[in-house]
Amino acid sequence: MSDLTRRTVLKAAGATLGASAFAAAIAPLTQWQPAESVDEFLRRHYKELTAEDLAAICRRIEADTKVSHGIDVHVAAPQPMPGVQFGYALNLSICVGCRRCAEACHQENNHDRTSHNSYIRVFELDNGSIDLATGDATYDHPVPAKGKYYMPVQCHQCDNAPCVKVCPVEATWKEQDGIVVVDYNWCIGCRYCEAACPYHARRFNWKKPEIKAEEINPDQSYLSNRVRPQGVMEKCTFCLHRTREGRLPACLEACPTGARVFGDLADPDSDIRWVLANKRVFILKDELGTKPRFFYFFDK
Amino acid sequence: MAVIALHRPGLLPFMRQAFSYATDGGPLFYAWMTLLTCVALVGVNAWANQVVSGMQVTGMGDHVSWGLYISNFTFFVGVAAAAVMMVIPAYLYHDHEMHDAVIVGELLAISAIVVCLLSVTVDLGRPDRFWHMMPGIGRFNWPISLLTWDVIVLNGYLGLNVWICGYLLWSRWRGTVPSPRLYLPFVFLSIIWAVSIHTVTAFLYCGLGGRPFWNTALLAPRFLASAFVAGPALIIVVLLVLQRLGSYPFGDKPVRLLLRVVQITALINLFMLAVECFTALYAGSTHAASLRYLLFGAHGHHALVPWMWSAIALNVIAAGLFLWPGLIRRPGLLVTACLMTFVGIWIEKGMGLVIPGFIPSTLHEMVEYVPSLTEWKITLGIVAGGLIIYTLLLKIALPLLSGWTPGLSVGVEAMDAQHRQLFDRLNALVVAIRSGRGTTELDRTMSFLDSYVREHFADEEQLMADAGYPGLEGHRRMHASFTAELESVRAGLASLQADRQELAERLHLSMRDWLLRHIQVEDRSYGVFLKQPAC
Repeated sequence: MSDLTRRTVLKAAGATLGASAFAAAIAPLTQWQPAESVDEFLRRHYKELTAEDLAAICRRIEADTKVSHGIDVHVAAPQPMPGVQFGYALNLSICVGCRRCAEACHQENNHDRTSHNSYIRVFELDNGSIDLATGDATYDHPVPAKGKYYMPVQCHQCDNAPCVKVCPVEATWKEQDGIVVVDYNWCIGCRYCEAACPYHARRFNWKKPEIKAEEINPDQSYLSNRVRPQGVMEKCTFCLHRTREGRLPACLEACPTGARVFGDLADPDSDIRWVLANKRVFILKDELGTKPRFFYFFDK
Repeated sequence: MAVIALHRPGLLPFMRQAFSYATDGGPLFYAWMTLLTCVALVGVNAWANQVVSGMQVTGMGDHVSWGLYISNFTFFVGVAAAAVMMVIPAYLYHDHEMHDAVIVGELLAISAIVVCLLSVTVDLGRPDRFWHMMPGIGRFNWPISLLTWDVIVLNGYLGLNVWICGYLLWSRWRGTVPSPRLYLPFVFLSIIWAVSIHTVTAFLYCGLGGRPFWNTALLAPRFLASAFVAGPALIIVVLLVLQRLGSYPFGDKPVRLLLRVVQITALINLFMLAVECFTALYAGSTHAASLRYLLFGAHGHHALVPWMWSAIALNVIAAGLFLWPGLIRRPGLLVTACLMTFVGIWIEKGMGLVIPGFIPSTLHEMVEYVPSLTEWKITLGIVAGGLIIYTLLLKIALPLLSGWTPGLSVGVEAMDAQHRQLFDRLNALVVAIRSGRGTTELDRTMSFLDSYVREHFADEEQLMADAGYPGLEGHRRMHASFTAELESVRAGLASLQADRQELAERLHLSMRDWLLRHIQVEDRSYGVFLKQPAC
């Protein structure tokens, strides 16, 4: 055999070996089930969908959940109510740090059970200081502890939201009523928004959320608490599936002290407007210019 | 009379030649490629598993949500940008010697950008939705999101360098003189573009008000300074390795020039780090929290402290070595210094820059990060992939740039074969001088070239005389001047006083270039003459 042909044969053998090794290396991908139909994969951006498109997508998610978890859920797509501007205020003077709000969020929003995820983190701070650096979010003792006060933090639904600005694919945006939402079916999972958020309000689905069928809250919506896919961002939506239908956020309903005040900033007679007008109100990280819709206040 | 033109070889033979250059090699080459392929495949496998199981297999979490992938991305953007340190002298200052070597930098830029793009891709939770980021098809949040700017500048930079390298190599293959109109504007654009890729990458970070550690105007200048240390340092290593392997028939002036670059940039980089530390630590502002964690540890957490001090030590020692005048004569030490600063900057602006931005978190929680095995596998796999691309590109480009190509054919087979030999022997002599071979071997190579030149010129002149070529006299004079030049190099080699490096430069700069132009113009014109039908 001549040198040239031998070389060619060797090269061909090397290439074949390399290609089959590559096929073997990439083989785990065949087990990947993004649980999405071709229609879903190729669908347009949320803002380009018609009401019918959106309804069809919601039906599809219901059918998928039936297959994956064997239960019937209702996935709605409630739209912002005209003229309503949601805002939230929290009374630091009476919050006792019981974390029932965080737990209610966990249940209501169909969070991953294994990581016990919640959109709310409650910080225990020393009286006499408002420096979060001295705070602790992992406290484990009866509350309220002596000499401490508590500050729950969740999405501030900023009017100048850094997370919305940085998203490269417009998978997150601010709705008419002021709520910042994520389209879980459009997000590419780059987590730039998570880096941008000054309030640690965003969460990533590091794996497929695990939740038992009987624990799933069937009252769901497309932009809020439906069970999230793996590899996408999620965040607090002020429970828009409830609040856009005139109900209150789950965290507020769970609060035993009445520290939470939710309402329409555009309505001069609302409770939240009364708080903003009459209490000593502050916002977290005012200097960043994020213009939050989440306010803290003190009674005394 | 019909215009007679000599055949110009086309794209298909070009691809075939490129393929053979890229895949032919010695045992060392095959061993190197096998090693890289294995590492790359381990990375591919780890990534496939990560896609299936989710990003839980990384060390990242909701507190430190970017890790090794984005660190490596940031670092390699700088490596890509550093090609500009060769492009500027080559094209703005018309440094003749850099002109040949610049391709080593440009090809590195191409490979580094591929590393960057892969590093971002593996960081995506949903790589299947990659197309959402494509302008026109997806929903491209430009100009608001800095990430979309990065998509544009990185792909643009990739395109510019592919075009410039591709066009120059293609021209060389075709034997045509590259038209400045078709590449110079792109070269100048690539200079600005190189600055832009690193500026935009810095803006990804410093535009985030909620991360005080990154939110500093010094970040982009620091990125550029460190890029212009790590990149040129890597190119110096590559040039020295190529010289050692005997596959680099160019001069060593580029190494000296790049060394002068890193002498300055290494100091500027350290200066900026000092400025950053002073500003934060003296004032005790909020962005001191991350810096204190990075340098000294905080609240009982100090995972990054040994890394950062190693980086500082490596960079300081390397900066000192670069300033030592004797370094250029100690290739081993020079490579060590370059690798030290390369690693130092990899730590400083990868892990040392990205990770502390998340520690403490925006709500001041201390959660540390250590890359998982999966992250290491994927990262090393990507780097191996980049090295595979770089090796193959160099294997194609270097022989194409320095050797005979079918585009130089004069239409007479015998003459083509002799021209090919001439290039090969000239390159062999350059390599022999550079690698400091012994006098006897040099002498043999020299005599070999010398006798071949005389033989070839005699054959060629005979051919022209037989055909009654009118330009024979002028052509003969050119040959004579070349022979005289060769004679003087030979005399120089024989004498002990002459600077050998300078002789090698003369050989490859003036003589090989002369040969190239001579064949492109004068020889081809006798080729055309010979092809004319007899009257």
